[in-house]
Parts: sequence; structure tokens; C-alpha cells
Amino acid sequence: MREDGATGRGKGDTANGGATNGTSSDDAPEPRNARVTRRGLIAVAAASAGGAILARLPAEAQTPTTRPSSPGATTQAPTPPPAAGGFDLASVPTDPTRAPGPPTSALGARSPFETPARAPVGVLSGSSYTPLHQLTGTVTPSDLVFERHHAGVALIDPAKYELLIHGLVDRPTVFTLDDLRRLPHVSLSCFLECSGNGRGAFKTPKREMTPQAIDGLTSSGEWTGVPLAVLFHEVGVRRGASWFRAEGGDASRLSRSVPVEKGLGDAMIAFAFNGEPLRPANGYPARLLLPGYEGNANIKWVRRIELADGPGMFRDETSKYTDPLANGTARQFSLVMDAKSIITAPAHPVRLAPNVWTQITGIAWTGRGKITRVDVSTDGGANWLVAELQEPVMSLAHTRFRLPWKWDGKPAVLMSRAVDETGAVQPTLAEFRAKRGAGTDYHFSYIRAWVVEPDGQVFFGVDV
Amino acid sequence: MSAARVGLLASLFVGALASCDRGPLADRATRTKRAFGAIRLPSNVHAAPAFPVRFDVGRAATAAEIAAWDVDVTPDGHGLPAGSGTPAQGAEVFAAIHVMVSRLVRIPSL
Repeated sequence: MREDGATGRGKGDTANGGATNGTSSDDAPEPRNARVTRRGLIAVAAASAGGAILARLPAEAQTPTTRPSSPGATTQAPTPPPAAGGFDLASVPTDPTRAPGPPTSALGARSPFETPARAPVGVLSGSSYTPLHQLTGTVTPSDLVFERHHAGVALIDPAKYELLIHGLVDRPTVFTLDDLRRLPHVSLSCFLECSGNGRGAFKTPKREMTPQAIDGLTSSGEWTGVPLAVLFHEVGVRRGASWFRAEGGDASRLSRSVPVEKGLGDAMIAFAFNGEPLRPANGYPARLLLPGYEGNANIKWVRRIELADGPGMFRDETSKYTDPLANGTARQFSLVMDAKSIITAPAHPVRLAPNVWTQITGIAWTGRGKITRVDVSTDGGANWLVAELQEPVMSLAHTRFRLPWKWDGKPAVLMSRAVDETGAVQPTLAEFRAKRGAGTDYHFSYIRAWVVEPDGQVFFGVDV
Repeated sequence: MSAARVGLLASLFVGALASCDRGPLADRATRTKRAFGAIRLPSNVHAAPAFPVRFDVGRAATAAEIAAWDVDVTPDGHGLPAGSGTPAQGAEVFAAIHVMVSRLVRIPSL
């Protein structure tokens, strides 16, 4: 748990409300490739399974001979929208070696057998949770990155986007998106976690919670952008500027204060994620990225940065994003996320079979650098085994751990415990409760447990 | 970065040369030169340019632009528009607004 609050205090919440997710453009179905040749169609039609495949092609690609049109028709017959990307279960041939498959397409789609989905909560102010238990490796697919919005998804025309940097600077400057893209930009992989991640599991735990429901407000991937240090150099930050205040361009104009050292370090104005421009829900066209800091401070749709001699004491730094402590005081600006981990498999709603080998796996992360070790226990913390870490372990990014295991059919309690390069060890629930005061609302970094019942059913370990 | 790297290489090189003059390592200079010669780049490949003092990207923000967006108020009152009236009048307005707002929306407790 965070006990120092060294760099920051204060921080970001997340799931207080719900995310809006709703209909952000990244959820829109993908267009299908309509470029289908007549010869290709004939070949397909000649195949035994051709009929089924043909039925899945877009109407505009079908030939008149296969789709007679009535003389008076002026509009195309309505075709039911295909499953995401155009693949659907009904079109799966019994023998895929006996008929050609569908053509290439402009955008990729998942197998119709795979339907990962975020779990959205709330409307304008809400969140949607990444399905951690449906993912492997360390990178979160862009359309499954968690959301946390305070006034819905801001839709911004990149041609009109402007970033103003002013305050204690020599040259108050307005940067366009083109300006940002012209400047030197770099890429780094890091996680982004809502500081309220785990709130539901802490305050209203239920045995039926999945990894997604417990800790789905964290995602990780590769970000690209302009180092904030480059922009600070460009505007000439003045001596005496100790904080910068960042403001979002959404309808909530969410604002947070950050020590200027972070801006001169690894902070960036990011405009891309996982190789493509940011999704609207993640801050398109540009956002503040503060590796290792709580999600809320990573201002999306950032439009203004003011250099100042102190924090702005915005709403989300006063009534929210503080950590009440057991001694009656509260920690403010506790910006750095703590060492944490969660087993994503086996986990609810999985049911284990006894006496067969399986793999215990999950993710670990810390806002203080690299994960150096993850211990796994199958007996509720009495004994621990050192898990294998997936290389390369990247600083400030999700780190995958794994351990082979054969369940013997007896009751078991699975736990994971992360250790980072500063020596920070993920605390137990009891330790966490002892250090935090009543009303704790952020940074729930304690050890998560999974209980394996005698019948193999796995449940979230409430109060374990 | 490249400027710093070039500087570092130069200092290492000078340091290596200087240390060569010390007795038993007298032939180090020769070895150092051989080593550097072995990794010398082709004559048409050059080090990347160092960062300029400024990239001169972006345009100067006008005072009006800044004033239009910089509307936040800090706890010490900085950022407040010029006002008028007395503390008593202010208390009245404050109370009236909070009663009105609290009837419309749920205000999170501080």
C-alpha cells in the first residue's frame, strides 16, 4: 500500500460513478470489405458451402443474378447487420477445408466464438470495466480499455484541437495537433489504473465477482506522444513553477494538479495508443499521460496546462482523491499507484476439475517501477510459491505471472502477492484495513483471494 | 541526446589517451585507436543532430485567449473576477445560492 505519498498525494478516482460508455465510436461495428469480384462469387457459389457464405456478404457485393431486384425498388433490401466484423456462428462450415472462407476486409474482426466485452456502469459519469479474465499477455486491446468519464465521451475535431500552456512560462503558447505531431515523440508501455479500482470489491464484496468486476479499471499498452519536458522547454518554464495544473476539454473540464518534476520526467501528451490514434473514450485527440500515477490525474482531451507555484486545489483534490488514514488525518496528492496483483485464472466463474494440471496466471503492476516478484499461495497465505514473470518485465506496465498447478480436489484459497523494485509488498486485507481510516475510497491495493469449493467452483474470497 | 553522447565519447577518449601515458599501459593508446578505427562509421553516415534550443512550434497565446480559459479560482482567491459589495451582502448571496442549488442537485459532502 502506499505509505509514503512521496510524490503525490491526491488522486484520482474512478469509479465513482459509472462510465459512460455507451456508444462511443470505438464500439461501432466494423465496415465490411465490399470489394468482391464476380469471379470470386461464382467460385464461392459453386462450392458446397457457398450458399451460407454468400448470405453473409454485404448486399452491395452480391450480383443481380443471385439477388433478383424488383424493378420498382429504389432502395436496397435491408440486410441484417452482421456480427462484429462480419463473421457469425451460422456461417461456420462443418469442414473449413472444403470451402473457401470469406474475403479480406478493411478492418479485422474477432472470431464469432470470442465475445469479450467491457462492463459499463452509469451514463454521463460512469465507467466500464476491462474483462481481465478474458485477456492474456500484458497488452489490453484498444476497444477493451476501461473507461471512466465525468461528463461523457468528448468528441473533438482534431483540426480544431488546441493545447494552451501558460502561467509561469516565458512564452504562453498554443499548440495544434499538427504541432504536437511535428515535435519529437516517443513511445512507452504503461498501465493506467483508476485510483478507485477495487472499490466495489472492498465496500460491497460478493462471491460471484469476476476479475473484471473486482479490478477491471486497469488497462495497459503502448502509448505514443510528445514528452511534456519538450513542451515545457518550448514554452520556457520559469523558476518558481513547482506544479502544473491540467484541464480537460470535456464538459466536466476535469482538472488536476501535478508536481512539475513529473512533467520534466516521463510525462507526455499522448496522441496514440497501441499503434493508432487514441480512441475517443481514452482522450482523442490528445491526453496527459503520467506513467504510474492514478488514472484520474491523466487528464483526457487535455486543452490547458498552467504552470503555477502550487496545486490548484480542484474539486477532485479536495472532496475526492484523498486517503483517510487510521490516525484521523488524510493523505492528499497520493498520486503514485501501489504494488498490486490479481489472479485472472482460475477465477470466478471458472469451475476446476480435480487432479489435472492447470495454470495459475494473472497480472501485477506498480507505479514505482518494475515488478520484481510475484508470490502465489494456494493455501490462503500459509505458504507461497514464486511465480514466473513474463519477460521482458516493463517498468510501470502490467506484468504477467504464471505458475503450473494441479488442484487436488481439496478446498483451496488462491492468492497473489506482488513485490516491486522499491521493495514495496502488496499488503493483506487486514494490513490494509489497519492502515486506512474509515471512509477510505481509493487505492485498494490489498491481496485478492479466490476460494476453490470442493466441487471445483471458484469464488471471490470475501473477507479472506 | 546525441550531443551529450558525443561529449561523453569524447571525454572517454581523452581519458583513455591520458591514461595511456602511465607506464605499463603505454600501448593502450594504440589499442584505443584501433578499437575506435574498427567501429568508425562510413563517411556518409553522421550523428543525428542535437536538439535545437527551441523547435519554434506553436503560436503565441493571446492574453484574451488565456483569459477566456483561465477561469479557475485558487483557495487564496486568486482568479476571482473584480467584485463589489460587503461581506454581509456576500454571505446573503452565498446562502441563497446554496439553498437553491441544494434543492436541484445532490452536492457531494466535503
